[in-house]
Amino acid sequence: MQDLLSIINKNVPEVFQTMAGLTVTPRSGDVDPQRPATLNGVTGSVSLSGKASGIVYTAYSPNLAKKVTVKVLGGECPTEEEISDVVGEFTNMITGNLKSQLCDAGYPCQLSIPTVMRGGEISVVAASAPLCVRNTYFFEELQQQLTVLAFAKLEA
Amino acid sequence: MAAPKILSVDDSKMIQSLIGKGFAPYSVQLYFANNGVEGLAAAAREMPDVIILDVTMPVMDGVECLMKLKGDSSLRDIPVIMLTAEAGKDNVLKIAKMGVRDYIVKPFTEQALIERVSRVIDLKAKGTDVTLNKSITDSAVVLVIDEHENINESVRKSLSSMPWKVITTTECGAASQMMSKDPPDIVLISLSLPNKAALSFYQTIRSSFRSKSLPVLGLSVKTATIEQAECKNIGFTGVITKPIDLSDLPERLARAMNLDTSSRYYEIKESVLFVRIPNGLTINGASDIAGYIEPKTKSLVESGMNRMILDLREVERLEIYMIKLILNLVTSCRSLEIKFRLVGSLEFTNQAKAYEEMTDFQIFSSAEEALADFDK
Repeated sequence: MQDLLSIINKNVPEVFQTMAGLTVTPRSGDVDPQRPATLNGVTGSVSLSGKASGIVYTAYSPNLAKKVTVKVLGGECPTEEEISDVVGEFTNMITGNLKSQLCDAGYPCQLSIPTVMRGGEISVVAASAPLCVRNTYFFEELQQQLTVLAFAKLEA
Repeated sequence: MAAPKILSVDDSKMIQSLIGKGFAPYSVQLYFANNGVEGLAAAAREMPDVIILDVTMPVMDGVECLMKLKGDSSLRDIPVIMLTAEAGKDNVLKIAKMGVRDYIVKPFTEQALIERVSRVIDLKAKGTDVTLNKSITDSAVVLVIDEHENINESVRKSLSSMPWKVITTTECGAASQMMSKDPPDIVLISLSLPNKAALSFYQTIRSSFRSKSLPVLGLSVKTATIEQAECKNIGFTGVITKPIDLSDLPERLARAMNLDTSSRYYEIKESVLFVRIPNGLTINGASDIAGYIEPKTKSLVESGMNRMILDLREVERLEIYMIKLILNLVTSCRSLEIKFRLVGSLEFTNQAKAYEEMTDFQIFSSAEEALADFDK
């Protein structure tokens, strides 16, 4: 199985390219980021449970979340509900693709439904998850970046 | 027949919105449910022709919903297409065993969704049963794929007088990109592209829901009869032989696109139907005009008018097929009691005298003269 960061680095651009026509470029990433990690803005999360457990966060600036929502749904002024829905669904797709690869690698697991929170300096830590990766993804067209943070524990 | 019903069961408003947008151009009835419980209720109430089902949802997930659908004798035959981010092999196998028609993995393109749904239900563009064909005066996109730039250029030049956008390329890879960016109304493709690329490209066109009815004409040298037969066998709309008769090309393409070309020849002015026969009219052109005789004359009478002028002033050389066309028009006028007059140049009148079929007709030298004669 590829490492966690490589999988996410492949999934994130694919999801944004296919669903929103947006090209995103992964930065180098960090496989041992500082913990607790902090996130800002509109943050979607989806949990994994089973032989692979953990959680994936995707953090957008409010402006990026709005622009991505407009790209997907059209219009000019999306509602908070629409923005949350798009952020949640994109997080679901990124995590769902990760889950598929974990399952194929022998770590069957289930997905939670997405949750979305808003705020600054959201501090997150998953004490029982030895794996933690963090990366930013740059949107050339929007001149903005997305942060993805994932915690995971794999049980043989 | 009622439009087919599609039920989407997904907790994401974004997915519902994309499904709504994707199917907006088609004549379908869309229903949405936010979870498995609502989905089961909607399925029982609406009896949809297909269900598009997510997996991860609150209240009741897609797997449980699918189990209940398959366990209900009145609902089990409704085809289900899964639309989910979960694509692990075991997961797909488990769900496939429960009896789903198809499995679409998120992220997905609108095109992929429509194509997969179109395999289950008969999708028709909105209004296809009632709207008239596009007219020759409407815009259209013509895609030309020929390995010889000079052929592409000559086709482009010959169509320059038409309101059509002509895009050309020398190879199929670029053509595929052009098609996704600028969907054509017709494709002209050289049958001598390397590695039988024209045949593969044709199959690709036909396999896509959006282009399965797109007219495709092969371009081939006259003597290459084997490749022409091959392309006709697999279903090409037709073949245009090289050297291409560029004078006739707009009409051929218009015919292949099933465009309404009548405005080129038929016009009602001051309650009189004018039928204009252009100079150099080909057999195909005459056939085009003949095809509109019945609807045009019938429509004239239905509108309370009964006069027609057949304007032959542009015709420099009278051909047998033109005489047949004139006689067809005259016969139709007589059967509907439409008064008709012929207008032609002196040269035309002299040529017409040589044909027995034309000797009974008085040919006026101007439309004004012919119009005045109606009132005598």
